[in-house]
Amino acid sequence: MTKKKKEVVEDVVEVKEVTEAPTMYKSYDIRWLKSELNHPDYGFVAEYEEKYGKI
Amino acid sequence: MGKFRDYAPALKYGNKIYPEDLAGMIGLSSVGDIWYVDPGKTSGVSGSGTSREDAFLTVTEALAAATADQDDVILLTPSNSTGRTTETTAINWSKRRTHLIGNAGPISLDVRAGMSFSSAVVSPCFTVSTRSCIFKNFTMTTSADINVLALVTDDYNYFEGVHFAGIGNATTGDDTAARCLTLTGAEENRFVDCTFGLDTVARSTTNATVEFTSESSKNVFEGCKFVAYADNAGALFIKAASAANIGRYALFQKCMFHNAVNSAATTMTTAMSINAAVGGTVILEDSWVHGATDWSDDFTAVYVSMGKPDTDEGGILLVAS
Repeated sequence: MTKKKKEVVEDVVEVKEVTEAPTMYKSYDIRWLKSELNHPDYGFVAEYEEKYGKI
Repeated sequence: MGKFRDYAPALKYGNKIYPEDLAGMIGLSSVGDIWYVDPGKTSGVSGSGTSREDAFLTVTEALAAATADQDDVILLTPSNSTGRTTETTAINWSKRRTHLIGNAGPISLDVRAGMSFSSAVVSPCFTVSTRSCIFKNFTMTTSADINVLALVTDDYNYFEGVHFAGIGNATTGDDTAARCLTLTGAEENRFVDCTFGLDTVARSTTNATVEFTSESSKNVFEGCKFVAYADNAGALFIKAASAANIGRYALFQKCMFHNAVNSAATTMTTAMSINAAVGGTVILEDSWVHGATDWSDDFTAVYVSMGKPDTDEGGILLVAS
């Protein structure tokens, strides 16, 4: 008698941690800050986009 | 089709109608000189201010050129996107009967003509220390850490469609001394369809949008919007927290006080802090607040004339007290 080999197929699911992008970042509405090109804290926009992606 | 100049001898022989001849366009029956400010000039070089093509770059320059008591008008006629000048010194509006008008859509919120004050400016950015002036249709703002945006110390001025976009820096938002407007001994000023504050920068301490001090009397706010993003329950829209800060009354008609709690702001404990012996009555007529637990910390001098809106379905809920 042939021994049937049971094949176990495992689905590999990649789990990615998705962090929801906040609308406020370091006390600023980040979309508003992006429109304020001369704001002294405009650098937060680049920081935010690096963490959460392009606005 | 006939032309007007064919029937007006002065025009027929080469004379022109100048802007100052068209006073009615800005609501005055007579005006003096017109001064132009355009922060968007591609040359980047300031001019004589006497025409749009040869405009000044800043309001500071235009105010210096204006003469008091002849109803000179300074027109902000921007050709750039934000329409804001960059003022590097504080402005003291001390020339009586001198007016500032923005040439942009009259949206009252973030009007695309106005002034921004750089970090070199010492607080307050814009002081009105004279009377009988018209300020209309522009934004004043600063993104630098400057505590007080505007200060009014005199009487009989008219503000319409002006956005007092103060507390535009997170560090300022963390400062108890931050104000968008302070009224100090200022009487009988009228604010129509103006916006006070920003709801795009968090206010993380017990500061105030507008403060009354030194018996500021009979100032009227009609159809104005007070906006905030409170990050601290102690932030206020209106502060008159000491005795004799207001004389006679301060009237708010059909005003909106909106703290962005539906966008995760912190609920304010009260919208206002009004001393029991403030010296006058704070009258709230058909106004409403959202994002504060109560109107005031003390109601001795507060008179509320409106129905209480039922929270989610509209209508009027009359509550006996």
